[in-house]
Amino acid sequence: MGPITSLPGFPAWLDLLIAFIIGIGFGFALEQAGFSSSRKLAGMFYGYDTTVIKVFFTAAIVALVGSQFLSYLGLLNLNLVFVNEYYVTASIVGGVIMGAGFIMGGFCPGTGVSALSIGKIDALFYVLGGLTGAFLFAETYPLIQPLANGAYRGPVKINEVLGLSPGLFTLLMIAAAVVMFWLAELAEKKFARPDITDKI
Amino acid sequence: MNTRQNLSAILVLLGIILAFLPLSGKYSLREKPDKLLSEVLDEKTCFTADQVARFVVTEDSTVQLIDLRSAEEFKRFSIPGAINIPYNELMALDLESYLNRDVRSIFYSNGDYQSGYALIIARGLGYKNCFVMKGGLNEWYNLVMNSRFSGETITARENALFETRTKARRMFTELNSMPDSLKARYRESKEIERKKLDGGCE
Amino acid sequence: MKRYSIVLALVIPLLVMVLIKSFTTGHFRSDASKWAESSINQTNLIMQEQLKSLEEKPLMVILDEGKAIPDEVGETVNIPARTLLEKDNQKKLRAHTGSIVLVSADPAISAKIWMLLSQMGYKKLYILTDSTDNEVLKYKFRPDTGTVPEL
Repeated sequence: MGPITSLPGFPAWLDLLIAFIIGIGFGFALEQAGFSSSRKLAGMFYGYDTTVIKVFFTAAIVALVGSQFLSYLGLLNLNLVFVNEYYVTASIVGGVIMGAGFIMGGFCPGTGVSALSIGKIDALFYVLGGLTGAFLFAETYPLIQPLANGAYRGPVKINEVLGLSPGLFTLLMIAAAVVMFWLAELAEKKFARPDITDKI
Repeated sequence: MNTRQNLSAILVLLGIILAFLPLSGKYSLREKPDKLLSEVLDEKTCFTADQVARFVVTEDSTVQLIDLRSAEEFKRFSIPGAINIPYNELMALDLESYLNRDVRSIFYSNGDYQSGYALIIARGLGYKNCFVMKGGLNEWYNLVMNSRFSGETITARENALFETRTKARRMFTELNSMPDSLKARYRESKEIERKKLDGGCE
Repeated sequence: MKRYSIVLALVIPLLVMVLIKSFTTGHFRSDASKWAESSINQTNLIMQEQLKSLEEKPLMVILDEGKAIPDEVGETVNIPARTLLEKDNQKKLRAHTGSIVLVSADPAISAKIWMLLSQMGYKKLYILTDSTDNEVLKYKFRPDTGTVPEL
């Protein structure tokens, strides 16, 4: 019964090895989806290329569906799976900062590293900028702590707040995704920028 | 059908199946019934009041007593070293932090019912290091608190037993005779000791 | 059909697994606290005199090995606790439509079996208890305020 890391006697090195392999898989998925190109990523905000939302949302839904089935078949104990804790203020402020950085730089943290790995110089500066931001966050933490820890809601799950069963919520998410992807396709036609391509 | 339509169709169909499944966020027992049954019927899951008295007297840190009675009853008196998880709140708690540890958790209540229920639930959820004290506090009183030495001679084994019982009785009476404020402080200090041993951060 | 081959190849096996899981008995039901509820408010305990007030004739299940059969209020079977989950015994239990009353000389066994069966989905399950309540403390604690222990 998973998660496998919770099995008794599970060696810590194997835990890290699995994380390493999953990380490689993640980088591979990003690269082959074309996310090493900042034009593709910025396209999400200008509307001419909506690959980002399709890839990430599909990944989220596959994970959602997969984990629900594993839980039902008794192979995964969902109560042991980590649920991110919800700090309202920090989510909003951090989201705005990250969004601004995303559109200005054309990368987000994961794609920045995968672009760096294929040798892009702008990705190098992007990653350095990210590390500087992290350093500043740590150094100023005593000052910003009330902001960072404000409005704590605990590990919230949306379906619990709405009072829906997890399965029903999953179905709604899938329906929402289908609608969103269809709208994304429309946007691509409307905001098309044939002058911007990924060709180097 | 191209990839996109395939993927959408798969996800939508799976979503529909999921919508009908009785998945709930609340937990359920994970163990297989027959395995659980043989476990709880095994004598090894049961400690006698004398064995528990021995743990209390030696301040055995590999054992954690869990008192299932109400908070009020616990405040009035309890076995030294026990923590309180009232039975009616047991299922509402995240038991991971209480039970998934290296120490053996021993449930006790006034009698046998609540500890029996708790044992099934705890072991059924997968916490194997859980046990009960047979007879609960009624048996503790009977064996430990009211034990009297009678007769002229006594075997070495009976002597050891009697000694343990007497010591446990003394510790029990001492702790539970303290006024409430001191009792709370005593319990807190024990709690901090336990956490230090665990290596937890608080 | 061939057009949908990939879709069906993924969905049908999962559907089959889910259906198998839904319809097999002999495992624990979801939402443990729901099935344990009557143990919290103690409505799962029943005394000898109350047996007559049950709607249908109850099935008395003797959990100890080879115990003598007490005087009948309803049907009585002897199912030693260890053999409780065997197919035939489970069939007997599930076939009975009224209440099931667990009887044992050891209250610990009754309690454990009650919780085990309840979590498997049995409703209308009771423990036969004698008049002295098992969970009431029969002794009084006499504090000794003379001694002062070290903290």
